[in-house]
Amino acid sequence: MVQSEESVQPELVVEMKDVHFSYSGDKSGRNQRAVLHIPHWQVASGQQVFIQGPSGCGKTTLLNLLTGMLTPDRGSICLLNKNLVTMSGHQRDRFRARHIGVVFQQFNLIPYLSVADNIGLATYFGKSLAKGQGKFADSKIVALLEQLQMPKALLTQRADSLSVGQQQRVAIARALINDPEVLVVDEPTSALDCTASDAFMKLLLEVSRDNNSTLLFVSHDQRLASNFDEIICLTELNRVVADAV
Amino acid sequence: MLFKVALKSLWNRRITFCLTVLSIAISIFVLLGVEHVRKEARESFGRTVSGVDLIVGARTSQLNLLLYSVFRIGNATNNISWQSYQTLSANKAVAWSIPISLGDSHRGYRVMGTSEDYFEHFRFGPQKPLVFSAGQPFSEVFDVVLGADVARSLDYQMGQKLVLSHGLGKTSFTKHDDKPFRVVGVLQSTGTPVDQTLHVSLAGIEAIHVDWPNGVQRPGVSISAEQALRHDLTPSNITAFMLGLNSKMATFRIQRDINEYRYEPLVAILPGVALAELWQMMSSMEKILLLISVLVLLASLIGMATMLLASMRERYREIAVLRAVGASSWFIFLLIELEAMLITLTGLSLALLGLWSAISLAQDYLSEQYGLFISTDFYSPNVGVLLLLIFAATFVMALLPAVNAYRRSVQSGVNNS
Repeated sequence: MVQSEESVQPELVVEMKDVHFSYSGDKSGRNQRAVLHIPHWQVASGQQVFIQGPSGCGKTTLLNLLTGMLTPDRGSICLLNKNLVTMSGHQRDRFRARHIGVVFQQFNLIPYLSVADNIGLATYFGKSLAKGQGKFADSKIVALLEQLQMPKALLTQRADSLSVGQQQRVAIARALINDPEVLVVDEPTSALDCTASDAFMKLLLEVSRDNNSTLLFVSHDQRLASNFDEIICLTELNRVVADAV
Repeated sequence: MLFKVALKSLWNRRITFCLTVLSIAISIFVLLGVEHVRKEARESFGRTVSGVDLIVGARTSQLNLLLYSVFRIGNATNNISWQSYQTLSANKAVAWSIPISLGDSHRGYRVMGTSEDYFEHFRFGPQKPLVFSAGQPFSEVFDVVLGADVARSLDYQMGQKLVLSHGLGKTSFTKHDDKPFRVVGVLQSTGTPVDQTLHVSLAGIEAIHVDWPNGVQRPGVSISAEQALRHDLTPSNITAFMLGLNSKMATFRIQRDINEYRYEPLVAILPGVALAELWQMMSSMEKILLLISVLVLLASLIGMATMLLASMRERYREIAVLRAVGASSWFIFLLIELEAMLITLTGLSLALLGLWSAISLAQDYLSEQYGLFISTDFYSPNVGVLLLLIFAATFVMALLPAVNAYRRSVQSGVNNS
């Protein structure tokens, strides 16, 4: 089921065509497990998309494919009109760092690094700032934290000394520091209680809208779906699951 | 950033990090220590004597003669008669000779009776002569010239009087205290056993033994220093002597003549050949020590690889986070390799510091007890090669956890928690 609330789609940010993905079995190719087959799927720029589906339907695999961490067996995955499949591994890593922000379910941060260093990692890999612009980077981090309603004093604290909610906010700051066109979020509220979850969702939708990022949000929690422009049910999009069903 | 992440990651696991560093530091300490002491011992022995063509002593092994006559290690099996010395040193092929008479000591330092020719002809290192930092060679019977270490450790000044002891023990109950010697000269430091020696004239040695026939003091008989001077102080025998020849071509002929000397069983040795024999004997021991040190290092490096590998399980999330923010798989690989290198580098720094401290503390003891002069300057081409090999071995050992992390980062995606 694909529910689209907009009839006129602007520029495409994501376009998947005939994408097949399977986890390899042993060396001879036996026990190969097909996980995804998406004939066609596209997302327009600025959309906030909710991707739902039960556990094991391939949600996380889809995100891994979209971020270029996994490559499909066949088909094409275009992000911002660039085909991830034809890129080298290095090019995909660089593309991900510059254009995609990622927030996980939990354990988003490197525990032994400070908040500033965790966010700084993204600027380092994204090379979004030229050398000598360290102060500008710092002020950008501070501004982002302020936007996420976090005190500046947290910058020097170790990530593992923060609460889960604070860690998730830092993860958003890190995901947004390079002004990514695409924000990929994987069940970020699973470790939060209802109140914290609602506050987090409000904040996430706000900042992604403010940053003009296309939001791809994966969750099995249908309660959250009402906040989004578009809702995708992966079990219908994914032919492997549909065939199995 | 790579460096920062590696450092903070190691510090996050500081207990295992410190233990691994300690184990690597100890193994590198042993490895570099063995290599440094080996090199320094060779250099120390090699620079002790130069320009001496032959050393002659009572018949014994060439190593024993070399050790007691030059390095003051061990004892002579017998003495040489003064007559034989005079006969052999009068040979036309002989340019100069230095008689040596050993057997007495002063507070653990050996006393060597010799002639003034010693100060003129003896050379050490690259043909360097002995130089006085104060005073001059002995001219009177009861004059003594001190080696640099003796003067420094015992804080003796020019003109000060000291008493020699019979025998070589550090604590002696039989002293020649009725015949004190006066310090007339102090030699500059040579980095050889000369620094640990008190030099007196052969007449001085003879004088203190006037009332000691056959090495034992005659009971109830005491001859004062003034009375001793009135005796004939020509030595009846000496311990060994060194020869410098007019021509190197004559060396083997003179050596053969001395070895076949019919009036007394003598042996003449070439210092260089005797040293070569010493190193040949030592080389198998050196190789065994080196092998043991290498194995100890290898065990430590395997321990380090195990530690890194064991930490991988808890680091899969960390790898996933790094990958998500754009780190390449090579970054992950390099991170693990860099951590291994930092462990080894810290271990190496600790080892060098420990080695420097240990040698600084043991320097005096080694020079006093074994005539070994070990410097704290560690660098040598061999040490350079060893350091390169240590880092190469570290790289190879860290390949296992690094490749594991690399493969994990290639195969996995964002959801690694």
